[in-house]
Amino acid sequence: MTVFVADLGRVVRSEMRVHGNMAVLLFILISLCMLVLGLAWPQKYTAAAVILVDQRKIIQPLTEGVAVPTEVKDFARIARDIIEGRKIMAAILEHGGWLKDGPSPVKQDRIIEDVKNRVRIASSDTNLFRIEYSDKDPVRSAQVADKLAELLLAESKRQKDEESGTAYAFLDQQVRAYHNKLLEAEARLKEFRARSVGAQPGTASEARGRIDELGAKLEQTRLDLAEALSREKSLQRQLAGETELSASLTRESQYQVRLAELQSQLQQLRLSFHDAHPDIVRVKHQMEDLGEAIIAEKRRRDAEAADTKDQRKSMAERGISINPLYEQLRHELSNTRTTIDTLRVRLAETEQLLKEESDRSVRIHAGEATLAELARDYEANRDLYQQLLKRREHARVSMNLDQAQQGLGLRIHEHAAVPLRPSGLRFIHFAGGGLILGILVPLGLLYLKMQYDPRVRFRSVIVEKLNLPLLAVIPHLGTAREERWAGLRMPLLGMMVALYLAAFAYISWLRFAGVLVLDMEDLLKAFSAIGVA
Amino acid sequence: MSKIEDALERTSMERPHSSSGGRLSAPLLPFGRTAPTVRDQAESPGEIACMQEPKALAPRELVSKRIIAPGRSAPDVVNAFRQLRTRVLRHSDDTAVVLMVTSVCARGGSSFVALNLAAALSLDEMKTALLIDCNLGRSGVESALGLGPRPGLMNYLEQASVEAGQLIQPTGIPRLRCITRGERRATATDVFTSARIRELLQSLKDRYEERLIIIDAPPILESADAEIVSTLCDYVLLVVPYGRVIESQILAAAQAVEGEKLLGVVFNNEPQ
Repeated sequence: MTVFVADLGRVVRSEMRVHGNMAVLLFILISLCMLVLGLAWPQKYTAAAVILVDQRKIIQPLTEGVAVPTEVKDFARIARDIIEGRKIMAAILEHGGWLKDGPSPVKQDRIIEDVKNRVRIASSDTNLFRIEYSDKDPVRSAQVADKLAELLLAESKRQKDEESGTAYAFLDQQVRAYHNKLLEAEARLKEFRARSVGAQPGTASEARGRIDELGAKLEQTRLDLAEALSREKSLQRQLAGETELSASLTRESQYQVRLAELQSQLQQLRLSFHDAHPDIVRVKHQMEDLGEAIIAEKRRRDAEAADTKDQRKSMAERGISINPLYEQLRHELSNTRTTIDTLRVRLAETEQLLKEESDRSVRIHAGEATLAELARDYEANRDLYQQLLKRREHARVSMNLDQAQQGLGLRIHEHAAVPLRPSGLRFIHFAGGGLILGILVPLGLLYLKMQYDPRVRFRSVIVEKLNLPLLAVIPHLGTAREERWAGLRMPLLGMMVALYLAAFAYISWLRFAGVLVLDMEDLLKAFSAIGVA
Repeated sequence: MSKIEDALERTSMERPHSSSGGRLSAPLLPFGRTAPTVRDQAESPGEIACMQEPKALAPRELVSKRIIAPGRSAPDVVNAFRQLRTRVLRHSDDTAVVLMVTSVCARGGSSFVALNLAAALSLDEMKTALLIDCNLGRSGVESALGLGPRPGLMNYLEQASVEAGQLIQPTGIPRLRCITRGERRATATDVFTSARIRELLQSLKDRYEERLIIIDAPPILESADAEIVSTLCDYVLLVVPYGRVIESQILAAAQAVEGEKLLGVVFNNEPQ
């Protein structure tokens, strides 16, 4: 590596020796060109007016979410568009004195383009932004920058007022439209409610309860009816089994029963005893007594029956009476039939009621759907209307803010001052840059040559890379003339460079003294003349 | 050729005879060797000192011809050639060797190196050098030494009547002789493949053991002659000019040289 570095130094030295003339020539040419360019480079004076965007730190939190203030960044963005507008540009032409010569519209347009190109708007993160304008004339640069700021402020205020006013007007119109819609919806709702009184909210559940109740009642009635019917059948069956009249037990029959008993007892006794037995005798006596009693009874009854009028009494006398069970059954049957009739009537009525209730329920449901739709319509309109109302109020506040200049307050923080020193590239940059470039370009070219020329310049390549034995390295041997010239060349070149630098310094001094100023247009004309020649 | 030059040459041919019984001459002449027909120079180191020299070139003239002159030329160049001479002689084993100097590309400085190597060699009083110019196209040696139109190599190769002794020219540098290119007549034939050049080289080698025969050949990559000549030589010296050739060219040139004959590379014209 050290060998390589040593080689490199030698190569650079030698190449510079070989191409020294060219390098010096290049240096002189480049620096001279830059010097001339620097002399002719138009002086540019930049003036800047600083605009303060006052966002009203106090009012902003108060109007948070209510008013929409314009952002600084937004404003800086639109500022250029505003400035480049025809209106402001025309005013600037007037103010800057460009219209004194009465230029043609085409020329005016060109001037406007020039002015636009020379305007720069720089915004910072803070609330300041600058309007810079560059011009050959320092006074005019300040005037134009100031005028630009003023016009921008006026125009932006006008635009902002217009914008917020338009926004308010639009919202107001919308609010009216929605108000009408809301009224219509309300009217529809009212009309519907009036039309369907029964279809009030909540009647549906009542109707449902009522239907349930009626259903239960209907069921109960049906059960009662079935019960009554079965009861009727049962009573009828019972009635069929009972006789209407029943025989009552008379005295005569009781005697006869007793007589029969005695008869059987007598027969029993005769099986064991003779008729003479006391027991038989007694029984026979008893039987005789009973026979007499029966006859007596029959006589009495017949006598009674002959003169009695009351059939029943006679019947009762005869031991026949109306059956009380039958009577009772008949009474119950009658009652049951009455009940059945009543239940049937009730059933029919209940069914009728149920049907009516069902119909009503259907009507209620239909009414509810319509009502829900109308209510929904109404609510949607109402919400929108309320929102719009709110927004309209926001817009009104924004508009009022802008009108009162309480929103994005713009004011000129600093008027443009007449610049004392030119900005941008100045003569010293060209002169210094020319000298540096004059040194760097030849070196760069040499570097490029060494970098991209593959021809062997380093002895190390032969030994290390190609592995060939290197017997000798013969230094350059010039002819006698070459050697003589080489001896003279360096002092000559040095002298030339020194002379050139002296001239360079002198020209620079003249320039700084303000004596020597070239006009770029003259220079271009001179070049074109040379080109034509 | 002028009469004066003829006379000078005759004198130089006759002078060694007068001292043929010299102290050092006998052991250096091998037995059975026929005395050379052309006696251009001394036959032994002792005789070398007595070699007839024409008017030597002044150092100023040498410098103007880009030939090294100790004390006048740039010392580092002189030293470089001396160093090269020493390294070349290390391979000669005190016998006459034929060394071809060729360049990788045209105008690579092979004539310059060959001439100055010969000049550096001739700085040693015990050594003598013979420079043969094989550059058929353009001769650097001839113009540098300002040699006239005497019969040269081509004349010898093409005309049987021309003898070797006639070719050797003094150069104005002590102990350095030169065979110029000569005038070529028939261009069609390939002269370097003939047996006559072998004979010539052999006879020149046989003549002095301390002699270094240096052939200035055309660029090896551009001329087939150079390759043919390299087969006749003992060693080849490859001249690489500074900043003129790329690596692959150097490698190709090195590979064009047969076997072990490549003595080494001379990196020429390196800027100081």
